[in-house]
Amino acid sequence: MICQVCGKNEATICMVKMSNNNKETLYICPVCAEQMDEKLLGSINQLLSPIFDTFFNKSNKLGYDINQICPTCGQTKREWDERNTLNCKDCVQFLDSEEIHIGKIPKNNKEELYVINLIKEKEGHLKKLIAEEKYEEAAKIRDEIKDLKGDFLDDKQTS
Amino acid sequence: MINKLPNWLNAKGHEGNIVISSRVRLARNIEGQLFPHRMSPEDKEKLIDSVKETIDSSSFKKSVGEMKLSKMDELSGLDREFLLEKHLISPNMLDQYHNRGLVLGLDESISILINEEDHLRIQSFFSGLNLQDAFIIADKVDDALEKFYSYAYHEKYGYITSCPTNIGTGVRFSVMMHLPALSMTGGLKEVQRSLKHDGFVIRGFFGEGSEGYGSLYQISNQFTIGVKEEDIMIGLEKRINDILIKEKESREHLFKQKKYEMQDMIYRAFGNIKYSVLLTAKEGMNNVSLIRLGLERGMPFEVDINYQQLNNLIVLAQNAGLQSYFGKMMSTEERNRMRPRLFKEILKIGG
Repeated sequence: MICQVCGKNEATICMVKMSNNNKETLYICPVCAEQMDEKLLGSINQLLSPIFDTFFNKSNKLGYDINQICPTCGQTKREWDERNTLNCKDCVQFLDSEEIHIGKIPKNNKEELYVINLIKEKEGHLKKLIAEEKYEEAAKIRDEIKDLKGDFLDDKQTS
Repeated sequence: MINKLPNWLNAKGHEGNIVISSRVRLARNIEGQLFPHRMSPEDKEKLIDSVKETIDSSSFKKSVGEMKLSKMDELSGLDREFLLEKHLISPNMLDQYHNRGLVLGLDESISILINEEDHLRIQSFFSGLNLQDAFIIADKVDDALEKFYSYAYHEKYGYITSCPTNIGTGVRFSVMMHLPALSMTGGLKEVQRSLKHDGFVIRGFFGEGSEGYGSLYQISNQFTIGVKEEDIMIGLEKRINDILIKEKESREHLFKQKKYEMQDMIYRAFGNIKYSVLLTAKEGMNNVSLIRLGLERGMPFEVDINYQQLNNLIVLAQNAGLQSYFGKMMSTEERNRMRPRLFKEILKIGG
């Protein structure tokens, strides 16, 4: 069935309007559906798509991927695209930044993370030193990394 | 406590003639909780109460000192507006003050905002160009809070904040400068361009859209991830020093090329304050700006003026500042009528 609005795309949505015993049917494609009443279709879409997605286990044609919902606060990818705001820590899944944090790390309750980051930082420094052919300093840093890694693994094995 | 003037207006800091203040802000959220805009009022109140317990604990007091918590709901509208004019709370916090809290150090140079855009926002102010000390203090408060709260922290992205532009270090360094010569000569456009190129931004006294207000500008970093706090700070300091040089050169140039015009403008500003019957905040600020420029050039005035008086006027000339000074609520007309008196009293003009 071809879309009755644009006459080009495959129609995948059937809209039925019921009034005074009259039944009007309209077959439309997702592109035209998007352009029609955004609000109406948007809300229906948000309501239904998770159900469809669960059945068919794939992203729906109109909106977002079922996998792109924050598991903690329920924010959808679409909401994220509109507002660009995190509702909770786990909304970081929407970020697509290449940058890595290299600054302060909370100490008391993230001991492990602290060491991991320290190692990461020192490895970066080591690369730089090698590139600059400062081998003596590099050897020192290499040993520091080794010690850190050793301590870290010991801790993990004993705990 | 809400009514007094903060310590960072004392003009005693480095380059205090041109740099009014240095500020550091750290954005922090608490692990396992929705961010403030999605929290229930009850949960917000719980957080405020828990911060109160924290700051009253002996271990917090020992490392940070005495601090006092105010619930925004319990303050008067005037108090809240005055806090905004002192830059202690944000415009957002003034508009939506319900279930939000403010912790203030005794000299108002340290503050913690509760339930603003993020659960906790630690701020530290210093007079003049002194990002380093401001950072040390904010960092210390952060360390002290960290003993009580587990922060929302991600191995790759660092501190997680509700706005993606703060993720990483969650740090914003900000310097307030008086730049009349660069504004007059149009040199500010070039400054703005090069700052933007390097990831920094220049805004007016009250943020975006208040450019030109008393020739006061705030310059701050826009990037928060991929660079260490200290390196962001050093980067901004370098930019501030460049701007200082440019501003001083522009002043030199202006007073060489347009000596009489400049003197005329500055003495007229003084005359304006001495003789005006009605004065708006903006007019007052622009007059203070010119007098400040004259003072820096060593121009004599009929009374002795110092930078601290001028800094105090920056805050007191505003609507809530003025009303707090005279201790009563006033209409716009009344405020404009009383403002010349405020200026004359602070500058000790006409006995």
